[in-house]
Amino acid sequence: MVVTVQKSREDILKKLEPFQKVFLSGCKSCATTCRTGGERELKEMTKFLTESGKEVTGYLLPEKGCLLPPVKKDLRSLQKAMDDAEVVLLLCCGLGNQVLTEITKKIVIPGCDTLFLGPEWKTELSPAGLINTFEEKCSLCGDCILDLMGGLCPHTLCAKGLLNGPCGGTTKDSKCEVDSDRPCGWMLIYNRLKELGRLDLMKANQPAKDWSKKIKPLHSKAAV
Amino acid sequence: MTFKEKIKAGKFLITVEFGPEKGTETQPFIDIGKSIADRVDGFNVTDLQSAVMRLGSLALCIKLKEAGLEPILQMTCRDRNRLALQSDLLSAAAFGIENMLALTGDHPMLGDDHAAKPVFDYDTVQLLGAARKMETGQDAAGNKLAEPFPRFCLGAVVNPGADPLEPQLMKMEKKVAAGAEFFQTQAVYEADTFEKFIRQAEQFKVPIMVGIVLLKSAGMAKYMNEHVAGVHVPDNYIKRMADAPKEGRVAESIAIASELIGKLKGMCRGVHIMPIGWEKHCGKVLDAAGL
Repeated sequence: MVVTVQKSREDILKKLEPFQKVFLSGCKSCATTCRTGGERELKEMTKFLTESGKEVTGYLLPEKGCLLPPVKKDLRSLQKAMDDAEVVLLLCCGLGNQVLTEITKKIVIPGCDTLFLGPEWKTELSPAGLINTFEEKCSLCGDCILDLMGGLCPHTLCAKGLLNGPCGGTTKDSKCEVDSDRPCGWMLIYNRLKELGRLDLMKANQPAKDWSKKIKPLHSKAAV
Repeated sequence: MTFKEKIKAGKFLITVEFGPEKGTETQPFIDIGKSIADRVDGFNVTDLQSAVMRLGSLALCIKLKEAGLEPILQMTCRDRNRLALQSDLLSAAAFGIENMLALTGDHPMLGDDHAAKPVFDYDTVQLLGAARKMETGQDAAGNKLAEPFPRFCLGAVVNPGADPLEPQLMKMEKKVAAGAEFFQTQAVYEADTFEKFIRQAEQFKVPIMVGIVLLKSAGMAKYMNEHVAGVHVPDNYIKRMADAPKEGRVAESIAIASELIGKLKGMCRGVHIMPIGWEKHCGKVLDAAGL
């Protein structure tokens, strides 16, 4: 899942300052799960923008904002609302933004920041209700070695992306020097491999990553 | 004798760390270096220590070398990709600097410009491996180097106070395999912790120099206990620094450092003194420790 957070209302209004008529779009997938651009958030944003003196001409909520052909199809029935708008405010990820820009050729203002790729990891009850936690688990490095690391990604879990073991910055309670709230990724890997009886994997020399596999922009094809 | 020759000759090694300023001044380091050169085997120059932008390690190393001193170039993996790291190794070699200490480097979030991009293209094991490969006439990608090929004396660091110690030892073993021929440790204040570490690290048969950081105040000691991984200053040293009158702090700090050196030097191959701004007192530390 692509994890997003909404920009502050202040930032959104600043970006919308030159515009009066706004078309809104979200996504029924990731942005709904992240509570950044589902039905509820689109309604809340409509209310907020209206109260702030803007006119919302309509909104789109595709099943998956990142799939261009179906989004294009969904937009047909909303063509007038889109045409009436000076600008689009998008409440989902950077992929959804580019899909909409490609289709509409309008300025699509990101109402969210796209943070990372991560699963919905746990749901906890807090005073504010049920809270979902998303954690970054994969850095899309293009060169997967999870089998050698007990299923824990050093590129992602180590703040420095080290491949041959921890730096000297692991605190006494096995936290990272960068932030005392986050665990040292290498201690997680060490403990996991120890549990699996596979510390031999940690002793193996890991070569530096081949960045030529990540020359941007990448593309990929798949048979339908 | 070069530092490498002294390692091979089995000499007890003494090194002192210099931390460049956030500016261009180098003369005080050269003057201090010259005043203790007859007793010090190598002068480490830190590489943007604490992830703070400042004068580079290579610049001060060149100045020290030109003054007839033996510099040890510290290189972190934080700020340069593999091209820049290897290029700086060649640059160092071109100036006759062969000693290099490989470190991961503090994360930019610990420094004074949090917005900086962390690089970490290589880790220390990979950096050591690349340096060794350059000695054979090839860069890391396997491309040929022009002769003369560089020669290096490669070092690395280890944290004896890490808990658990096993991951540190596993990485230490990889560093030795990659080419590290000497180790300098993180600050040590407890002989029993160091002894436990040495017992396990002996198997790697590589010279280890114990790290001595001069305590500047009780506050600094408490700060290190709180924030510096694997470092523990015992209460009695904190109390001694706290009880010392302001004008007696340097003397107390030197007394503590020399006592520590006395306890630890018999367990290892050398002492690495990190004065953290008190470079000018290193001579007195050596006097007090009888080195």
